[in-house]
Amino acid sequence: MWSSTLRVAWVVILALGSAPAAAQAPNTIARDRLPAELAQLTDDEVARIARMSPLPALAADPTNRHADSAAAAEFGHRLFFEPRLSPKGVSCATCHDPVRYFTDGKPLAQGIGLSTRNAPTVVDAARRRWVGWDGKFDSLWSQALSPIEHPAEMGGSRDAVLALVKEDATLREGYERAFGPFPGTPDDGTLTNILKALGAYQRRIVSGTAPIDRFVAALEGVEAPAGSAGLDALGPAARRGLAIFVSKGGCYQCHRGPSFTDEEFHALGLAGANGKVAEDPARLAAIDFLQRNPMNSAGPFSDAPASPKASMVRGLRRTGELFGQFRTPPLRGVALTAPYMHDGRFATLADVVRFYDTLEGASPVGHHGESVLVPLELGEAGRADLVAFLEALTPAKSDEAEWWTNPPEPSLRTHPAPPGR
Amino acid sequence: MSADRTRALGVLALLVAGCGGSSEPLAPQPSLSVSAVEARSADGTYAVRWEPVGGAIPDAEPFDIRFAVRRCDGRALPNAATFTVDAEMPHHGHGMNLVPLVERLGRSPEGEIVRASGMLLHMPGRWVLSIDIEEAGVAERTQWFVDVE
Repeated sequence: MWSSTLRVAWVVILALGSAPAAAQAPNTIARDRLPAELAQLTDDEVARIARMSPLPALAADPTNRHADSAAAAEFGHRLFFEPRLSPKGVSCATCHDPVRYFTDGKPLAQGIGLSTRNAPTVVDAARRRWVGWDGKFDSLWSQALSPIEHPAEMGGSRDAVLALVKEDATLREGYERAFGPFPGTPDDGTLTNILKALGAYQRRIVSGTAPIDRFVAALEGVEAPAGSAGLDALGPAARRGLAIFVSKGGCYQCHRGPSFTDEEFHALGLAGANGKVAEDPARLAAIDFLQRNPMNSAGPFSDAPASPKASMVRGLRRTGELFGQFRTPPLRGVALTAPYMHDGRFATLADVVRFYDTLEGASPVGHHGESVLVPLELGEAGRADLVAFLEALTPAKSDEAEWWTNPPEPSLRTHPAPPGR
Repeated sequence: MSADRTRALGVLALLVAGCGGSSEPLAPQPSLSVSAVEARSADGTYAVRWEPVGGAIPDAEPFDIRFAVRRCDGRALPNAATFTVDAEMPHHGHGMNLVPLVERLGRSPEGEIVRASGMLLHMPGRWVLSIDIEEAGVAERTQWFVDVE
């Protein structure tokens, strides 16, 4: 019996059509503005610099209709710092400490026990297409339950969270200000509202302007505000590092655009705990979990189960090449989020750059692995320049710095109740 | 005669002259833009034109494409024909992380109009976009290079 698949194997012949170039945003940098360190770059490489800034406005999250509610964010703010969500007094802020750029500074996140992954920053997390190193979640709100209930993280339970909000006058008031009367069962939407409040709060944790923004603006001819640097925002070493980043370093291939990430997943050949091939399936296992999670964007708890994001979740491809792939981390603020990689194996940015420079200790990732990784052979000076550039991606806090600290006493906050209540 | 009607008839004449036209009644599907890219399938059975919806492929963001398919022998595509859309990076050894949702929209003067939603070319470099058309258990592939900067 002929199957269509078998026939395809015989019939299909490579017949390539003409080659349309993918359209890109135009290069907005004139060559005559380039400093000496960047003068040798090609037009394509200069265009990559133009695409680094500015950060676009934060996209809406239609899966969370409370995402931009001030009352929900205020309630989520209080929950984020609330140690009673855990029987052992661990809060979200334990591993996502604002003082440490919303990380804990440890190789592996330390809650009740030791996690298997490094704690990623919450800053700009609302910009991520997928949440977590393996992208196991597709929204901040759907991710929020996992650490609360994980035995090595907060060790709590959804029932205990509901009981706490019900019994604590401040928390209950915060809930009711955001969502209305507190009903109180896991299935009636109360739990989802609590998670969406945590998502709404984390959307407020956004970065401000970084030196790279002022530098790109100056290259584009935008005059710097009085008292702030323009082209001088990047020193000579950082400029040389920028040139490496967009050219022979190849960093731009995954660390793309204004967030310096392609929002997707790659295997770098980082050795596993046994020093050989990595054992963590990472993205491969995460897709299965994500698609089965009733709290995903396509699920019954989503406020937009027909949204493009929901379609993406349904359309995720599960193939063997995903084994060991982790999300490309964004690089804004990267100098503040040591240690590095999904397991925190590199203590410093210099260690990370040294790995890419030499690929020392890398394991083969199999015939499905990326073939773009080759030793860069930058040498000491080139590595230092690249680190200097990465440090120039350090942003200021956003204007709404109130969200970066413990919430004030309840009486000090006066967000009005939502309309209609 | 309006300019639009003149243009439509011109396109139809080209189709008949070059590769044959559809004999089926035409549904009111908008044609692809003049910048859409065309190629023949492997055995020359089909002519396929495609373009990104919105006119551009965004940088590392999901996008949709529309494509028009017509048989070069002038016969209409049967309703049972199916379409598969994919893209891969031969030099990297991987493809897209999403499986596009393919939806048949209807017919236009230039052939069957199909939309593939959820494309994602997440890395720069050379991609090969493929559109497979299958009739009665036989599939033919049409491919294009797409260079992402």
